[in-house]
Amino acid sequence: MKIIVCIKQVPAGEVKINPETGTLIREGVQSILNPFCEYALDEAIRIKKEQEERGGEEVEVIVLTMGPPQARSALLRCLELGADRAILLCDRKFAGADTLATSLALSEAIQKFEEDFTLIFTGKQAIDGDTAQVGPELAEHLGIPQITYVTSTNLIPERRRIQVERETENGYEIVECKLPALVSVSSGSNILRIPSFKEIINARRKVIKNVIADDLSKDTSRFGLSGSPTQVAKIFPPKSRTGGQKIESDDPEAAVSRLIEFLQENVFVDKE
Amino acid sequence: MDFIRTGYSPGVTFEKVRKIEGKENIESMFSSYTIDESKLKGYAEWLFFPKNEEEIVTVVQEMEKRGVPITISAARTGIVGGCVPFGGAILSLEKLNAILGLGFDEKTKQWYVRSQPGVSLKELNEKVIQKKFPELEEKQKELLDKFSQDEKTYWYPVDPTEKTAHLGGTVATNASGSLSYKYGATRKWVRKVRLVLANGEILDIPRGKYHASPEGTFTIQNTAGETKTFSIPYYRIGTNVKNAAGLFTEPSMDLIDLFIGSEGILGVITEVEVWITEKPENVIAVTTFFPTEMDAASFVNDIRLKDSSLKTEFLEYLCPDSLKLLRKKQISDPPLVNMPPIPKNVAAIIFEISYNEDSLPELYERLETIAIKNNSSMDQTWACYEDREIDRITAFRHLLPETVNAIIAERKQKNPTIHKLGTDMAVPIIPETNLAGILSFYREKLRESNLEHVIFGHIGDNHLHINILPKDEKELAKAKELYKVFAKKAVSLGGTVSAEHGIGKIKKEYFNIMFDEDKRRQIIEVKQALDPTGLFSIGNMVNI
Ligand SMILES: Cc1cc2nc3c(=O)[nH]c(=O)nc-3n(C[C@H](O)[C@H](O)[C@H](O)COP(=O)(O)OP(=O)(O)OC[C@H]3O[C@@H](n4cnc5c(N)ncnc54)[C@H](O)[C@@H]3O)c2cc1C
Repeated sequence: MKIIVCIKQVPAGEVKINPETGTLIREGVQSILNPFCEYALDEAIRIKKEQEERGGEEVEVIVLTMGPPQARSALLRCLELGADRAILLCDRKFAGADTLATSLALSEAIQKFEEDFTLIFTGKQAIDGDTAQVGPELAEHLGIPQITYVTSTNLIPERRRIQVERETENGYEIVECKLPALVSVSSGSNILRIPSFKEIINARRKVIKNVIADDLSKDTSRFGLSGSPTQVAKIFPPKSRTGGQKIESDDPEAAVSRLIEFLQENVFVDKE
Repeated sequence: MDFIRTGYSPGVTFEKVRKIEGKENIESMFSSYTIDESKLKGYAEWLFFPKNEEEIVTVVQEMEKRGVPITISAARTGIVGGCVPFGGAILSLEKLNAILGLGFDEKTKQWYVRSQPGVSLKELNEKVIQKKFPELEEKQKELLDKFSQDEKTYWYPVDPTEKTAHLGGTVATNASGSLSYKYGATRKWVRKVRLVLANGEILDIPRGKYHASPEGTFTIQNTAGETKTFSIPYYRIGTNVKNAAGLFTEPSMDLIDLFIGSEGILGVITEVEVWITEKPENVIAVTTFFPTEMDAASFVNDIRLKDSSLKTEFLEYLCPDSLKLLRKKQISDPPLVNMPPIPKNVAAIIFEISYNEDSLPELYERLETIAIKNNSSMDQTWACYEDREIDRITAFRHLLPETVNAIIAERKQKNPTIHKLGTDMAVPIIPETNLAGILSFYREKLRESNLEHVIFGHIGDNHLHINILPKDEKELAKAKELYKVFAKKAVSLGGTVSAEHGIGKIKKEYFNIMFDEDKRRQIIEVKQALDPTGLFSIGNMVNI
């Protein structure tokens, strides 16, 4: 069984935007694996281990990304964390892609090289662009069902189905669907895994396949900037939330009475 | 040359210097200046904030005239009470916080930075690493360009954990830390020191210029033409042990070394030059687990003594009890610990080593061989190389002392007089048996005493911190006795009672184990030659 995890490399920390060009400033900023993609990968690895443990079908986890040459390091990280092999779509002709052109390139790569996949995982969104569109668009290109904002999964290989829990505005839903399907993952352990030195070394022996635009299609104008209808009117970093007010005291009673005072003053609770 | 002349500084009018007068004013608004991280609390009648060297000269002359002793104060991160005054004046150097220049030594092809003492290590390193010195852009444009074009990344590789420490404070204490395993303590990086002496005159000491005479003396001439000859201490401290106790000395020593680590008793450091060096581009931090403490110790010896090509940046230790404490914390607050599950009944060595992609597999094989020999494996490790992950490991290491401090703070509520007891001893790394020897000794004594404790720290330098957590007065008394037993043992092995924190005001009892009366007299004689009236930092290191 093949599980494909589509991942993205993103800048670590706060996103900065060049006010003149309106593009992301990437110089001097370290790049990391998008956290939601890491959750997606974790979910795939968990399924792989689970299948191993119960002697089920063997699972191969393939990570896929489209990006500049340095995106290799994000793929390498996935291989360290347990993925079996990786594919990098890297070509000038892919540059400047919006979500449509990106998802198109990904879908064509999947159709060309990994058509017999069972499941595709993506992160719910990348923390730099925050669009949350690539996953759903990819499912559309491939014509498969999609479930977004998933918090946990349960694969039922015998019935070729997957059951998931997904977040909604006001709670959770349990949804089941037929495989193959695409699942976008929105949460995971907030304690990121750390590979062992052995896993780091083993990852370097795994294959990262390089794919260029010509490998995918004769009509490469559908990729990259030329295949991107999106017009970005404005791009800005979201205001970071302020820390709120913290009541600190070594004396719990004093702290509680200050909290009650605050709640009363702001009419969250009635004054007795 | 063993002869040096002091320079003259005109000073300013005393009124010009920013000052707080009166014990009550200081206590009510500036009480943080009368305490440091040891929590020793003092008091003072004057608090000065000079802005430059001339103002320092004025304060020194005025206080000398009035017979008011001066305690020199930097960032107050010290943990031995060195900057804590007991009466007199506090001379805070926090306003002398400018980086003065960048330099390139054509002879050695090395970069260096000239700075006032009040610059924090954090600021210094940020600027060096990013190669950004806005303050120098006008006067050193060409050199700055040359520096930015240099492809290598540089840093000042002294890291006494507490990065808010000031450069001056770290020079005065010869600070060191985990990185000193590879890079040495502060001393090695100081290229020049400038000081104000007790007579208000200036000493400017570049490294390599002034050396003690064959008889072990220096002669200083003041601007009035009077000369004074004094002897450097003739006691000897082992050269292969990290040490922060006592004045430095060696035959034909460089005068600059007398002042580095002198804990403010000889003069006020007003300017320093420090070398900077290439920062390794890629490092990997590996946390390795061992079934026993002795396996961990043997792993350390194999790495540092058997394979000279394995140059780790540092080797740090967490004993089984340390990991147990952190595991308990992990269960109650996983995000705080922010690590994968901590294994049970093991000791850990955390080391960092630089690498390049091509040689990584070979490095791995060498480490794996050593690990297997010592009943461990690279399979059961946490290996980090991304910056954010290395930060996680650093935070994890620091969490241990923080956890210990939190436990003590809680116990203090019931027993206000108790405190933690943290040792700072180191023993020479050769003979090889020293490490296992001292560890077994600590173990045996700690077991006998039945006191709660953790052992952790700079194992690469045979410099382990034992933190004892007493529950009550009785245990505290017992811990203090044990501390002396450990100090005597370390000294008997040619080691030191303080490898990095210094002596200050609170470690003199242990200092006296290492430095008998005769050795202390040798220090006092230097002090009296340079500071005859006992103006500077009285109570540090020795009693006058
Ligand atoms: C959590 C923690 C961890 C620490 N870990 C380490 C460690 O690993 N290694 C280590 O070495 N230290 C460590 N320390 C101790 C401390 O950070 C160092 O001793 C540091 O060098 C002190 O710098 P400071 O600027 O705070 O100096 P202060 O504490 O203000 O002063 C230290 C001493 O230097 C003298 N002094 C200061 N400035 C001058 C000057 N310009 N001229 C003359 N004398 C001066 C003072 O009189 C005083 O005696 C740690 C401290 C903390 C709180």
